Amino acid sequence: MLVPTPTANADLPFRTSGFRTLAEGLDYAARGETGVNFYTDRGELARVLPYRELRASALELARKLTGLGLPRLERVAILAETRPEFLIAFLACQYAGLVPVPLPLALSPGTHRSHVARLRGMLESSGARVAIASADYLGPLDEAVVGTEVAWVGSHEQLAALEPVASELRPLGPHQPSDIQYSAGSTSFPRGVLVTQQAITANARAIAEHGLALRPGDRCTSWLPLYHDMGLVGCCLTPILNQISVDYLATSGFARRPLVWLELLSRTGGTISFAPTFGYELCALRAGSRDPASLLAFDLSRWRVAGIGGEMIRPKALSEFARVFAPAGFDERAFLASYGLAEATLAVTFAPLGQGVRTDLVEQGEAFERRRLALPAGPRARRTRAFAICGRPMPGYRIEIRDEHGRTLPERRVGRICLQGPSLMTGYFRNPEATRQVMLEDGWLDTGDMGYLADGELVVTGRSKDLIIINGRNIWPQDLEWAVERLDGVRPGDVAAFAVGGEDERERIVVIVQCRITDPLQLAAFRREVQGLVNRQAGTECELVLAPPRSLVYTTSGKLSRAAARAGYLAGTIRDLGGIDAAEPSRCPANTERPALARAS
Amino acid sequence: MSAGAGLPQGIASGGRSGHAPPMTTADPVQLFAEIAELVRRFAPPGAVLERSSELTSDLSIDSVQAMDLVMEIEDRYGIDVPVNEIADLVTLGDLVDLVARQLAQRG
Repeated sequence: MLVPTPTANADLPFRTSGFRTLAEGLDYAARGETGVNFYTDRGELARVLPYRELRASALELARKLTGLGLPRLERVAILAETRPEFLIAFLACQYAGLVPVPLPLALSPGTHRSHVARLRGMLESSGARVAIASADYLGPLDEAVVGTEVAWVGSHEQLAALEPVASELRPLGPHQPSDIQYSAGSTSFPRGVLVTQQAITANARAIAEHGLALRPGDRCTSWLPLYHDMGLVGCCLTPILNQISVDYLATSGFARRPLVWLELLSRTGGTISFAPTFGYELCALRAGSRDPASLLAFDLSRWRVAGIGGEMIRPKALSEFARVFAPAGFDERAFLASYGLAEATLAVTFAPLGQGVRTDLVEQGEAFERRRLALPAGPRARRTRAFAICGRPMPGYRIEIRDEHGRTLPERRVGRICLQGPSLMTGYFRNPEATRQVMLEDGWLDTGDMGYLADGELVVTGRSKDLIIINGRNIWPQDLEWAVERLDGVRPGDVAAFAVGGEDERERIVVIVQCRITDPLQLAAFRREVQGLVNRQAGTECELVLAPPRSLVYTTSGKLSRAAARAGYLAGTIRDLGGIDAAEPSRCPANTERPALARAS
Repeated sequence: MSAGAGLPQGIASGGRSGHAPPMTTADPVQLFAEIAELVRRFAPPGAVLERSSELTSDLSIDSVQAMDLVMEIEDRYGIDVPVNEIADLVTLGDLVDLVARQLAQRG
């Protein structure tokens, strides 16, 4: 019978620092008994891989990868499935002096084509020479490599069958890259964050020592995708660099049976687990449909860090989770708000441990929306909004809020979140133009996110000005716009996609399409076609507005202004051709909780 | 989905042991009718459920609901829907065919 790896090492001293590379960190962890464990979608333990074995397998595979004869620092793309083979291949690259590029999975129906396009964009942008997936996933990868620089594509098994070389391995050095992270960027404009060994080890150390105060006895549980920074850096590489055991559930498994996550935490005594708000929300939703007494079977009392990140933190949804799972021993003080992004490797701020979600209640209206002042709401405030407080920057990191002219703003003034620190990327891989847009001349990074400082603590008011995050998925407006622009009768620049805040803290997507059709029947058919397309592309119901020509505005350089489109929509100056009735989404499933579809501001 | 509740292993997963014996629908017409019935719960009222109905665009099933639906199907038929095949599902017919294949494989 399989037994998971132990939570703490028997003799090996716990060490958070002194590693200059991932390989050095794994070399050290391999001297103990801790490691990683993989569970089935139903929560059964399937594979156990102590760090000792993970290292041995990675070294063995590194010799086979070396046999492919690639020059040093060439890229190796690996489909980031939650299974041992991905970790082995990722770490084999470290030992072989090659740079791994984790690739995303497709988890939603009908996304095959967009997934292949996404993979191809990443393969082209990274210039990967090797592409690896498990046999089950070779289909989309085989399609995606056509026309790219990939010279070898195959399964983990095929890779393992290659001849190893006997020569000495030369692992990636302290001043070299560790991987390329594609969590930022759209399909149409992929942006790969080049993460360095120096950045990853510095960030992992700060997370361990400052953010989480890791200690022997801590154990991590994760269902986060390994192609995202929070899943890879936070719940995979940081544990390796701190000799922490991890219990993994595949993201697809979590999506089907979210409560398996909590079952694993109960059974294995996990003390640390991270999720976007949406993950907590899904659990509360599923638990609500079952007998409350059955929740007593969970034991969440040892869960000391319930981390939140990845999308805007929604305090109400988290309170609901805490309420539902309090009988199972969940302590809401375990909630830990944080802020981070792939461009900084991962983490930048953490709220203080053990205090739960703290919020800043801000008055909404003229001051906030026009003058960008985040004033604490007085007792007579008409409209308020509670923002989660994400804490202070970790030691070595600095945050400034700046206006659009680059001037530093005082406390409680909303502006662009800019930062500096030891784990900033040097740039997007092979993309100097995108790099110039975010790396400022003084060595600071403009995150594109909006927020303000209150008593030195960061409050995020909106993620990257264009990025839409729904149910934990990043949706780029460019991708929606491009999809619609390819339809007959639609011209480039005719489409604007953006998000607006819903009533219960959720965002929803609005797509405006300039439309020249006047015939009602044709218009109805067009509406149906576009609605289907955007729903499919976004994986969620979008509000479609078919607007007359010249509804959208462009900047002087001819770029579409999504901000102006959004403002016009909210102000009611951009209207649907069909009038009010047609502007309502044509369908709304009755059995789901959706934000009110009235135009909320 | 709560038939397995209370069992120490599988509190959340509704472990297969806690379920009624899996159905072995062989008749394609009946299988379609059964799956359409499951899908109906996620689709808007009055939606027409045909083999060619597209899950996301015609039936407005979003990514979260899709996973919920897959889980219901897995539990009801005692099969595993391979995660790598989800992206290929476009229509209701695709979904029915996938379930039929998995049932046939199970024997």
